[in-house]
Amino acid sequence: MNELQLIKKCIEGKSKAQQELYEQYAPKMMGVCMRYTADVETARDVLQEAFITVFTQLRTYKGEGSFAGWIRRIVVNTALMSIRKTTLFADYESLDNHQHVVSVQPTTLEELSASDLMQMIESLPMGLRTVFNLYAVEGYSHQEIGELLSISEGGARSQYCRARKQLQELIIAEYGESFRKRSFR
Amino acid sequence: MENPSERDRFDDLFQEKLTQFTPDVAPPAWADLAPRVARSVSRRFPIGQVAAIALLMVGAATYFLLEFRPDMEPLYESMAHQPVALLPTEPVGEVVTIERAERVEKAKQVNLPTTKSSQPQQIVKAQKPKQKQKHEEETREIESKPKQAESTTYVVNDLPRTTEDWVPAHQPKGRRVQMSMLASNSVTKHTSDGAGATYGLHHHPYYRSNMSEFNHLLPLRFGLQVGYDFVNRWHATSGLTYSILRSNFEVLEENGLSGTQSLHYLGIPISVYYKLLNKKGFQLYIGAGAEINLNLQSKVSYRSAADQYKMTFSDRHPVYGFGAKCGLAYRLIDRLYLYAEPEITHYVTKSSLRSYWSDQPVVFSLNIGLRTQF
Repeated sequence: MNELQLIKKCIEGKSKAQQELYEQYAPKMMGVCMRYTADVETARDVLQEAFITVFTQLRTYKGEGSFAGWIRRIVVNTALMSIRKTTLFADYESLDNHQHVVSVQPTTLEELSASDLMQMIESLPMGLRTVFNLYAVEGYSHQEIGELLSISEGGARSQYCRARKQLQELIIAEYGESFRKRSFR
Repeated sequence: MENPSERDRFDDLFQEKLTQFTPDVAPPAWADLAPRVARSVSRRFPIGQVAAIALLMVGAATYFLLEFRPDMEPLYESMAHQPVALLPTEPVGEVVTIERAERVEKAKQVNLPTTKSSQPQQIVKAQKPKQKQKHEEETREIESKPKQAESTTYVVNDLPRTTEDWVPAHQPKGRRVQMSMLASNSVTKHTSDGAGATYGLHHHPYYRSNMSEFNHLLPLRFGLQVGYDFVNRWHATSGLTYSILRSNFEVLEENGLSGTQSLHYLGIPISVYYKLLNKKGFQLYIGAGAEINLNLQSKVSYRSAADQYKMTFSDRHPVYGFGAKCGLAYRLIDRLYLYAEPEITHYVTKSSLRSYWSDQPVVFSLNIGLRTQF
């Protein structure tokens, strides 16, 4: 059964097809949820809510873009709805962002596993983590992030810079000076 | 100097590694999610909206059928007895004096009981200034007919084909979520006498005296309703209700006429609710709605010093109700809720039947019921 047939059967309410779709996409989407939430239980709750939305909104999927991307957007939006209740996103711009950059060698980053990167992301404060996820991993623009989080574009950009700086410092602290490219201070 | 606010290889690496990342933590099992998905997906069929539209159409069709059908000779034709009209103490229209002998003769012609009085009686031909012109036309028409018709002027013509009367009315109701059973009772007792009910201009014999006194018992209502969460906190319900309005009345005249009246109504309510709170087993909500009540049956029994009468009929005029309410529901077990809804309703009708609804325009009531969600 190809993807379109699977979707069609899900729309018809076939439980087997729904299960197949869920088991196909849930593990990866669990990773998405974990990047945005504070703990595993919350991630599971978000995932469940997101898949209920997926199944109820399946008729609206027009086949434009990848189906996995469509599901991912729903999961991210559900996660954002969840964290909006507990997280206050700072809306300010820092003028000295560029003066506090710590850079690492991109080639050395490739040596790190996805789990390592996940751990580093999870160590960020919730607000910075969310902005970094949205920009670096999901590919949203600063303007889109500002709209999603109800902050200014400048505020989104500023928080991204802070998140990136903290990540780079973490990498150097964890894996040594060999990862350092150059620093300004 | 690199600009960290712009996308670069650093971001791409995170994206490449994390987009396809599958954590060791297992997602929730499908078995945990399946029931919720089944409920959510099956809800997509807007059964509540379809039911509400269907009921609205039925209500509208009923209204037009009842309001615009040819003027029938009502249900009162089947009455076993057509009692003698009672006299208003202060007639406001043209008065015709009828001697007792003539009155007895006329009563015999139409098989009517008579009063004991040997005094001439005065019959009111037009009871209210604003209706005077119409009544005069009717009187002229009757007078132009043969004599037998004249004898029925104050009997047959007074029977309730009263499209010219406009009597406000009202009452309570209830409704609820997915499926609910309810009982409802008005909060205040109401008694009225003729002096306060001049707007009625009732044509029933036992209404005609403005010296009559009605003691209305609290209306009772029972219902079964279904509902549907159509948008987020919004919820619509509809269903069927049964209402009974009972009254005792007494006519403070020489006859000493008194009796009871019970009116039975089938109601079709439509309501919309907005949920304010849903916490720790409690739900708080507000709502508004409308209802059409169709008279299934009206029973009147009364007795005078000499005789006793019973009549059964149905009134063709629906009673419309428009109300607002707030409600509090408490979850007893699993999906079973107990709820209470104070409600204020305004009732409107063209019916000449005098009842709790017609004598008290605005009604406070309390709906209590059980509700289940599925």
